[in-house]
Amino acid sequence: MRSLLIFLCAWSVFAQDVTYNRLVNALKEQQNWLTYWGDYSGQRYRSLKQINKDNVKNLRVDWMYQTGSFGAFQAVPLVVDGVMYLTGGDGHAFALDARTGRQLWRTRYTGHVGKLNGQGTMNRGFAMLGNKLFMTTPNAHVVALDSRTGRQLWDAEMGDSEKGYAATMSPLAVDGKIIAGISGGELGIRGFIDAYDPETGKRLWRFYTIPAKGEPGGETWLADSWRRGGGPTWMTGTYDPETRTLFWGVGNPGPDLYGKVREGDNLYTCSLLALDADTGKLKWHYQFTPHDTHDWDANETPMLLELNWKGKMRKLVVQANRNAFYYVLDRNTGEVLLAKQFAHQTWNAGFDAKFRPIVKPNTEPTAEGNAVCPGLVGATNWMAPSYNPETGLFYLAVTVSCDVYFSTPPVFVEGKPYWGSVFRGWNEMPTHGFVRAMDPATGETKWEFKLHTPPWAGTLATAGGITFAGDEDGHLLAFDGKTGKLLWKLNTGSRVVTSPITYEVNGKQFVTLPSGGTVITLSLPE
Amino acid sequence: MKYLLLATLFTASPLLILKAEEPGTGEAIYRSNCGFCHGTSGEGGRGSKLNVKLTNADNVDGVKRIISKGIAGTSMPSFRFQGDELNALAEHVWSLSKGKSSDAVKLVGDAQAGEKLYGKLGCANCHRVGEKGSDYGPELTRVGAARSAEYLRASVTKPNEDIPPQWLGAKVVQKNGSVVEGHRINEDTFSVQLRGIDMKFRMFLKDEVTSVETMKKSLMPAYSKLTEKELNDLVGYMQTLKGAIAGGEAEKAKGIH
Repeated sequence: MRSLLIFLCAWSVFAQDVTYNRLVNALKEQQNWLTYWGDYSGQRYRSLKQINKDNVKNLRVDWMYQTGSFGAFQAVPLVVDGVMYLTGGDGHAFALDARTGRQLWRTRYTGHVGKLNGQGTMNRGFAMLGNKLFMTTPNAHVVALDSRTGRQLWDAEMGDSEKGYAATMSPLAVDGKIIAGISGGELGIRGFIDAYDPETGKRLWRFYTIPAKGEPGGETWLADSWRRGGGPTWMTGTYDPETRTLFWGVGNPGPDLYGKVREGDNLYTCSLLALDADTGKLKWHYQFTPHDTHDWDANETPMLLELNWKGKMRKLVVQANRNAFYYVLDRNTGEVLLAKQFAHQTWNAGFDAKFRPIVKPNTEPTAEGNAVCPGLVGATNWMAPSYNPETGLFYLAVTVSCDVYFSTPPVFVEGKPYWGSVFRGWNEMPTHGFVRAMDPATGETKWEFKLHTPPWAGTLATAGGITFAGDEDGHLLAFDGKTGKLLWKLNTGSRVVTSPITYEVNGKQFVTLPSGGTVITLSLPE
Repeated sequence: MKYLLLATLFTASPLLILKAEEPGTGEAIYRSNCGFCHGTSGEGGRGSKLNVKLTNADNVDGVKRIISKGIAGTSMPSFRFQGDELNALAEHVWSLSKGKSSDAVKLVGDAQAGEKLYGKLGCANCHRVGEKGSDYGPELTRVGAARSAEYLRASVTKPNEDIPPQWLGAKVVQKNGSVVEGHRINEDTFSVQLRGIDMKFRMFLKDEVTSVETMKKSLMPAYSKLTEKELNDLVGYMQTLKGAIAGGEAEKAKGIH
């Protein structure tokens, strides 16, 4: 038995390839972190408990890897059988020995150099399938690298960066397909979600998030405003392998702050989509913010949960939205079951029977400026929430802010910013943040920890009873997941703009947080 | 080892009678900066032969360009010589090849037969040519431009004679006695990371293993039993490999292919 166990361990350490079957069963490999979210559900929970509430105070830096490149890491690393893979900004990519931080290879995609139109160059990480890694690039390509060497295998263009298309998100690997989304919602793009053949880079399907005139939903756009309607898909979705369904958030309509040129609901902006992963066909959608004029993208994590819902186990998808409401939907039907306010807001007066929001008057941006809450970055954003099945709590990074929203008619120039004016902070409501624990079935707050500066870091929950979080002032934080008591903190010296992960190599648990240009990995002393 | 070999050849050759050198001459600069790869008389080694018609330069200016910019995808680096030094060095390199129209040693190899043999011997299991092959051993996509025929011949039959340090094999003896060999991709005081021939990473903490050794031999087996024709064919095939290497760091200059 023992020898069998050793054999299995050795096999897993040396496997180093990721099959679709392994991705479906990612939670059976608690030692690894196989996708951007850690698994398909987006729960960001690990049953590892070597590091726990009692000993987390002893956590110390085990190794650091300094990239020497500028800009803060936004990537979540993958850990596959002892190897860590992650992307940095500006096309950089790295493979490290996950136990020591020693470099296995380092490479750089340079296809975007000199070809950008003002787009940022941050990147949120890899997807892996077989022995290939997949990343998006600042010039809106998807590329495949050989995981063993970093060698580039193929390069597929999603959109023309001269026309404002860009990409930062970590792709999602499903059965024989690499799913990727697009950025550029502030530059008058027409958004989409793509599927690519992992072997060749050939595009297998595309779903436009902005329907054309004549297509279902096309009537929600004034005249030809759909052509530059935005609807970016700049964050990784989640996936239910049972129904082979993708759950994907869609961002703002364009122009962001000026709605008169695009009268109508502007489908499918600020919506959650359920797509057939095999065909890219829409199964259902729900629009959180019809005709948005505050840049409240719905790209936040659509987390998949199975909860006791009024006495019956039900497959759900939940999202804490930028518009300050937490939503619970039936994963299979799209039926909205709950919409609960979780942060200060001034735009919403309730919901009708179909959960369409009732918008308060005088909350539109104006030429003179109009203060509305939440602010433009939203009550939360792309930082990942987590869910711990043992505490039954949902952990969320929350921003409290309001902005003064200005609005003037913009002129559309292809590839140029298409905002429709500007926003600025509102001194009446100083910004701050929270790490908050909520009951995912009710949206009720169970505990919260106030942060001086609004956070851009996500959370991680472990069976050790810990909820890890990060803050904008550079701290990695460890909380008692049940009570919210702060157990430990580390000043990493740079803003934390991604989410921590945990993994295990040869029986030793690690916690990794990329911060600034450095990958920081912690463990307990021997 | 190879140096010893070269030295032996050297003393046996009339060309190798040492001349009184003046510092700063093209020859002196060449000997102290170029000879250890290209041979003191341009006979080649790890670097290509220079006493033949040059592959990548048609005149002295072409030589200067290569010296200043290096050659993408090869181990030819760029050098910072300027002015008189650069002129003198380039003139000397050009003089080595002047009037040479072909390889001094005629190769009678049949490249097509050599390509077949390359496949049959399984060279692609470790080496890459273009889009095909493995990244375990050195890439050969451009080896015909980067290495002399003699060097290639020696590499096939006596791979242990001259091993660039990054290709010295590494051997880890584990506490249970099992041995892992591979290409070392990183090492420090406390850990070592190898790549196995199966292209999987093998990563060890040194205090968890019995020993980490640098192998005194190449990871490549010696193909010493090839017939003369087979060897000529194989080298003949490799000499045709002058493709561009993807992702080369050095600037690609005009005329370099």
